[in-house]
Amino acid sequence: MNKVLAYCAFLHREEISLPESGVGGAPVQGLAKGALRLLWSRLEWPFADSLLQRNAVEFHQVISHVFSQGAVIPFRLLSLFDDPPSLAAFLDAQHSGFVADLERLRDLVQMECVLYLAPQPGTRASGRDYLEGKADLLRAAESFESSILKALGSLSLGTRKRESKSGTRIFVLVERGNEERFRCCVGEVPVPERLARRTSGPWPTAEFLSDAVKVPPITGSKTAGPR
Amino acid sequence: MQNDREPMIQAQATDKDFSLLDILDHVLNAGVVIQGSLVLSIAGVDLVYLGLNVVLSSVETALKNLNPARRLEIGQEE
Repeated sequence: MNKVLAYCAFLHREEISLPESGVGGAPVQGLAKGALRLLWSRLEWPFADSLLQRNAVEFHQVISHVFSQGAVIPFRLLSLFDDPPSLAAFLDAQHSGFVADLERLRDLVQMECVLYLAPQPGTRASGRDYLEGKADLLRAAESFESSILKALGSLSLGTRKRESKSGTRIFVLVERGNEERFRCCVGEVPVPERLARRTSGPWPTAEFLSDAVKVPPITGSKTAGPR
Repeated sequence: MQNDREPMIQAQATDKDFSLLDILDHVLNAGVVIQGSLVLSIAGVDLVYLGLNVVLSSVETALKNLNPARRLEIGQEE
C-alpha cells in the first residue's frame, strides 16, 4: 500500500538546500503554505521490519539535512498520511502552531545528557546491586541536573528531564553554535559514583515543542484513515 | 537501488553504533505524533498497532544484535 510519509516542517529561506531522496530512495517532495514547508515522500506501507534500521537512518538523514541549516519540527518515523491532499489538510490545520514554534525555537538546538548506572565489567550485578544502583541514580540525578544547570549558566535556555529505562535524560536548549561549550560545561561536572554520563546532540528541539504541535488535535485523524 | 545505499548506511553503523541507537530512539520517540495514525486500519485491523509491534520487535532485535564489545564501548563513553 502506498502512503505519504512526513519528515519535518521548517520555515522557508532561499538558501536552504533540500535532500533529493528519502526513505527507500523515494524523491523528497515539499509542501508549502506561506513560509512553512513540509517535506514528504511516498512509502510502501507497512515496510518489512528488516528494513527498519535502514529506513530510520534515511529518515534521519532527511531531517538532519535541513536541521543542519536551521530549525525544524521533526515528525516521527510512522507519520503516515493517505495522500498529498490529506497532508495538505493537516498542514492547513496546524499551520499557525507550527510557525509559532519554529519562530520561538529559531536558532536553537537541543543537547542531551543521559545519566545511567555505570557497567561493572567482570562482575555480575545482583538484584540488590541493581536496586541500590537505581536508588543512587534517582538521588544523584536531581543534584546532577542542578549542577549541570549551574555550570551551564546562561548557556541553558530551557531544560526538560525524563526518566527512562536507560537512565535519567536531561534535555537542554542552547543556541546553535554553543554545542561545544555545552559539552565542555557538562564535562566539568563530576559524575556521581557508580553512575556514568553520556552527552549527544545537537538534535532538533523536539522536547521543547508545544503540546499542540507535538500531539496535534484529533482532527488529523481522518487524514490517516483508509479510503 | 537498495544495494547502492547499503555501503553508506553500513559505514555509519560501523563507525558509531551508539549513534544508530540514538537515531532509532529519536526517529521513533521524538517529534510530532500523528494521532490519526491510530485509526489507520483495514478491515477492522489496526495497521498502526500492528506496525508499532513490528517496529518495537525490530528495535529489540537491533539492540540484541549489537556486538557486545560495542555495547560496552557505548556504556563506557565519557
